[in-house]
Amino acid sequence: MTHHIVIAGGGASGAIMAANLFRLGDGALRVTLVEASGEIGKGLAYGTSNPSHLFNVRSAQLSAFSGTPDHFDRWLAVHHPAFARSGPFVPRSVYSEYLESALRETAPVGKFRVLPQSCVGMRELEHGVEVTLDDGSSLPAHFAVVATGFGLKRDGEGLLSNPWTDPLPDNPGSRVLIVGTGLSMIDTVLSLLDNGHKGKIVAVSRRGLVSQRHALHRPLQLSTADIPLGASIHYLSRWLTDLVRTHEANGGDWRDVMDGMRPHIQTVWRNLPTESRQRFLRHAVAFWDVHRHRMPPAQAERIKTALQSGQLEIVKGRFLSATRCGERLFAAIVRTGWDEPQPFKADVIYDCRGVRRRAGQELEGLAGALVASGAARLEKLGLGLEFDRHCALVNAEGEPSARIFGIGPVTMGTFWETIAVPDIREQARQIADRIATGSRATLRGSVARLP
Amino acid sequence: MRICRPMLTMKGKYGLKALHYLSGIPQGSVAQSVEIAETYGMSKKFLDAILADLRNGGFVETRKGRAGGYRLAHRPEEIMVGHALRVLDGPLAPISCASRTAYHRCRDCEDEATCPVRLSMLEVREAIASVLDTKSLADMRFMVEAASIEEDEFLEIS
Repeated sequence: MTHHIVIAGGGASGAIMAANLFRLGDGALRVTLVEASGEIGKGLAYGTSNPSHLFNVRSAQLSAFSGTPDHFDRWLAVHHPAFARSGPFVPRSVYSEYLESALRETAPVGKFRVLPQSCVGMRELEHGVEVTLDDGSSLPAHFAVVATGFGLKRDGEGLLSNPWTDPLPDNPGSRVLIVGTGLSMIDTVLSLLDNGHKGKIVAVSRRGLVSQRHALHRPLQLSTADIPLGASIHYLSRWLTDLVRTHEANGGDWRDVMDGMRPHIQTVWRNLPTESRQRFLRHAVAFWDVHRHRMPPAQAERIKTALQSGQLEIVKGRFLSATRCGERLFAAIVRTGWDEPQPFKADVIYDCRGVRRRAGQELEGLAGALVASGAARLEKLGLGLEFDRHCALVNAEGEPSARIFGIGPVTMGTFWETIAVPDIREQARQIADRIATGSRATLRGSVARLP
Repeated sequence: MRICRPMLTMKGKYGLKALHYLSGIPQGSVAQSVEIAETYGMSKKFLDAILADLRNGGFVETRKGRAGGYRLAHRPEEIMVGHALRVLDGPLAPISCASRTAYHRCRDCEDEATCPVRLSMLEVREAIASVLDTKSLADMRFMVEAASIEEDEFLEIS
């Protein structure tokens, strides 16, 4: 019996899911990827075509398959030998091309299709899932996977421009304000510089922290037995800083500790008490991010030059709102330590506030529809939908689904560390296994019902 | 320098007993350290130091004042024995070279990478973690209850 699996969202998570289903399944399956743009692997992260927008993960970690860690490197050596030589940090634009080729390699002819639509609902039935599309039609499936990413809107908010979709300013002398100082800000600054921008660029965030740079990769070998699981965030962060201090005193680098923690982050997050997670989000997440998500050295060098020349300035403060006055925009920003907002003049304001500011807000699109219908519920911190340990969607009553799963950033609230390829492909492997086991169980079930 | 330390120190042992005691008091109430110390026959001063560590790790809370005392910071189902033990005794490691953070190399060690004892103990470490990290204070309480029932019934039969 051939099983039909529908994947909602065709970004990197959805494409990695599909490729793993074909590679790990027993062949008796058909996969429909529902993606409004009709394109594979071009979501928020890999939709960029600018070669200055690099991966901040080394190419050796980018294989779509947990079982074949050098799959990406081998592909890169054949298709982009120049990047393979200049690595290990390669442009993100090649990734959608790689995912397409990984799918071509694994998907049998006539078993895979991309549907250029949006998925607006999923309903679990006894023997399958009814997936509804935005044209009002519905798709019957045996299993469904939610791979809708961060769920951010593509268009900018009000007077704020979207750095990924809106055009760069025509006038190279224009004054640019960027709200947010994370890695999207870095990409936006690099795009502006590539475009020959000469004007001033101001980037503002509450703490004004900028991502650290990558160095040699020598992760400390940590075991879960070493890490104080279940302890408060206060205890955990002191343990981590002590470990860094000891390691540095012995001639090591703090990055070795961060990279050593990397494989354990999901376990740490799962065991972290809820109020500790809240405290982490409130007080420590900005510090964590700049150490955990680092810039490739080539990018860091260009940012450093821009900062030194004064073209780029980082301001500590809180962005309140933007108003238009004739041709110009004014942003109201309360600088840290000040009480009153100050107007910042700009010709264009980019919204690089990142993916977590939505915590607690209502979810949009498919995720919102699933919550509204009771097929899903928000996880405790409101970071996204709740899933069980094996990526099964948890419904309003707290029961995990046997047929609907989630992969990638949409599962961030449950797993925290699920936005990078190594975690996403591991989730894909788990879900593919679950679906294979589930479909065998269904078969046994239907055989048992025969008279 | 400690070359080898016992798998479970006195601190770890008393700490787990104190947590077991706290998991048995009615919800919303507190226990004073003196009653825990008397129950298990340990020194109050030592117990206070242990409870301070557990508080620091976020496993117990204190209430100050005349009606003050200690209580668990989370439900007994949510506190894992292995987690509390890491705060009391450091990394779960049967031997010091099997831990990265409380690491000590044996004085007579020739080659750590191929040491048969260390390689076996690394496996033991994972096994310890897999048992203790899934055993909650509620599970521990249940084990104790199950064990006491068996004993009673055994007496009746004989």
